[in-house]
Amino acid sequence: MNPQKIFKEKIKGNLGGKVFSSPHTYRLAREIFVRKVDFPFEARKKMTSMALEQAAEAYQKKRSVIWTSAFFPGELFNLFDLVPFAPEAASATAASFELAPDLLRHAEEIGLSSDSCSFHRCAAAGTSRKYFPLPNFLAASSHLCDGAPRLFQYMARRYRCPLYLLDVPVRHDEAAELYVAEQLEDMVRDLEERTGQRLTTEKIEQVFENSNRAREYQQEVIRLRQHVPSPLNGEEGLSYVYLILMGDGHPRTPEIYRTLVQELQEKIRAYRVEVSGEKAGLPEEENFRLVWMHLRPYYSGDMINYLEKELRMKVVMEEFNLVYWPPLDPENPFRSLARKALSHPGLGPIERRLDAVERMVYDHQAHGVVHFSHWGCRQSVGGALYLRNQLRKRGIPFLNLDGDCVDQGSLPWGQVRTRLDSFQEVLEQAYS
Amino acid sequence: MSQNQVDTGARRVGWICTYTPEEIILGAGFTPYRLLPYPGGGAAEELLPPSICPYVRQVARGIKRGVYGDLEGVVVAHSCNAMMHLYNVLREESGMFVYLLDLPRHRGEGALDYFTRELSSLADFLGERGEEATVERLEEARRLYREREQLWEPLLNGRADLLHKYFPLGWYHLAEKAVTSSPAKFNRELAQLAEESWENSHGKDAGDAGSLPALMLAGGIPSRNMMELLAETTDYFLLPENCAGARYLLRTPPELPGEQEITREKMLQEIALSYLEKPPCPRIYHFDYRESYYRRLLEKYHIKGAIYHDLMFCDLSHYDYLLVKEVFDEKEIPLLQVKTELGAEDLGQIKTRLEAFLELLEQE
Repeated sequence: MNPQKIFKEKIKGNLGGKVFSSPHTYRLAREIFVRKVDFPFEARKKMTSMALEQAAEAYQKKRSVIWTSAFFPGELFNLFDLVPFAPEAASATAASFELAPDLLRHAEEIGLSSDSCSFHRCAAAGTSRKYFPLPNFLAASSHLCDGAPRLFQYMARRYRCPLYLLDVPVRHDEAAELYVAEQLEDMVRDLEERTGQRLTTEKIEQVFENSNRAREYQQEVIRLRQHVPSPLNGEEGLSYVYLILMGDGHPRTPEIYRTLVQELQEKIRAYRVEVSGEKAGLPEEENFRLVWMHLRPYYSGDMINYLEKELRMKVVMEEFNLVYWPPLDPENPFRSLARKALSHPGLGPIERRLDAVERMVYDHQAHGVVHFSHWGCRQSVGGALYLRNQLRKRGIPFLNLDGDCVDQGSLPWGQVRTRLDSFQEVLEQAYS
Repeated sequence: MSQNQVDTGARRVGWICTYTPEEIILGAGFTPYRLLPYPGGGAAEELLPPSICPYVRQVARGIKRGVYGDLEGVVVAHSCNAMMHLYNVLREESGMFVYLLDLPRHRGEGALDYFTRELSSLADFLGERGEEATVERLEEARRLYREREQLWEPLLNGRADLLHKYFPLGWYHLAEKAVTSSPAKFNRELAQLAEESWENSHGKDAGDAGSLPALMLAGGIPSRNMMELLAETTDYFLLPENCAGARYLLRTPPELPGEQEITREKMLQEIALSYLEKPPCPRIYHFDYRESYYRRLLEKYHIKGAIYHDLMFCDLSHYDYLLVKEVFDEKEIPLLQVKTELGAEDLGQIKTRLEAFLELLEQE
């Protein structure tokens, strides 16, 4: 059953601003995506439910909506009970509903270069088509991306909304921390004035507690995935990117990760039972274990399914799921959030990213690394050659797959399949 | 030679982005030299992938191939993501010192403090490899840039005829010469020109740039070939609003200190401020500031049309176009968007489109 297809048929393919803003749409979506889909993990079901509720809330406008982009410290939105909406996530959804080709054409019509990131092109076109909920605020970070803050500037002018742009330096020292902390404090003061809400110590403690509890469970998920065989594959693992984008400090995030931890523990227990012979069958086959860099195509699951199900090369850890930041300290909220922003391994000279991927390979006993080079992502693609050379020097096989997460026209499936097959041979030779 | 004499012209340090403080490179005993796109640079894909900024790809290859001559090192300002990748590659491939200078994207007090500290670290780093960047040496460097600004001011603001006589490609040419010459030597040349020509010429308002019908070139950095093509194809006064033109030429260097003694930190802060307040590049987060800069240019110059150079794989250019277009549409100034990878192969399509655009301007 393809839930996207059923959903589109039910609404007669009529996706658009009116459909998105109707409460009926979310009742229908919950019926199809939450109740009828057989999720492999209860945690994923809970996350889907949360995502649909967040989307419904954003369109229903009972609370103020803030548009956000990847890596902006989302705890800030929850400090003010704002409803986040991520145009980049909406682009991924558009791709899964096969709406992206039309949106990408429209992006060119409004003058946006086809060289830029397709997540952002779709988002710009979705804005132009009035598909998205109206924002009260916009917030983006310079973290890894030059495009998102520029896109948000364009959107802020269109909607005449306050825009918060967080400039995160590449150094991680006292001066950098102070610079980021002051920006965050200024944003909070401005939000206090505009929303009429005073930020209280209790609220900071509550949101930071959510964030820290989620972080602990995330770490436990990572630890459980180090088990051989791994209890969670890449197709599942990459879906939790939603929480990285929209779940920072949200009250439901820790519960979703807690559920996932329990389910992974149960799965590992089941493996042990199988291995000890108390139950018929063998553990799930796992010929090779891989670390995945960047995201995956959202219009089709062919690539990751072929990799994991046909070739039995399981993705056991993803760059996006790395817990790279220290726990948040409610006593020093701005410094603490600044440290979180500055800790990202993709920031600054590439050794940080290299160290992070090496650590993931080592911790997860991975046999190789797959880098999905999303065409418009300068940060990720720009480092691929360097990572390949450095990892190969260390004896870690590396596959660079050129493609696009949103634009399905840019992923020639035949070529990709051949490259995945070849990589399997490389791994077989390396580990024979 | 005085202990404080800077700019011997002997030891060159490369730089790329116009937010790189030349005064500090000079104060540390090196001659700053801008690494520009070069003829025959083309797509240059061997060190960096094809979807990264072509300027950055050209610089990486140019350094590797020795296109820029002898350099002791390079200062890479972190103006965008592509520059970070350039830094990563140059450390591996260049065989020279490479320094990463972080740049804030905001203006204001916090950004100024952060950038001042960055400049202090840069001065220390370069000082260890060249001469200590003392207050006296920085002051001397600053004096040279202040003097240069005063020397070229008549060319920028009054005498387009003389500008084109000595610099046939106009502002672009003047900036190109400035960023690739020893500042002391360039000042002497400008001073000589002033003495020979504009001091003695008659009809001082002849060719006032502000009254000439002008064509603005906005967007990403152009190639020299592109500027030559524009100069050949049109008689309009060319106004490059980019980092090879106005964004470099119109920075106001800090004023010289008065009688009072100045500390090194204060001097670095003043240099930092002059860069943060210069005509802004799209990397700066305050579009209102950038918009007001555009509006000032539109008020001051008689802009008949504009070409937006949408440098391929440059996110800053791509999104800036949408915002800049609003300003030009509002003023009903025709805008032509052209895309290039800074290669000669782009010129054919630009020429055809430019000719059609110029015809359109003539009809208006």
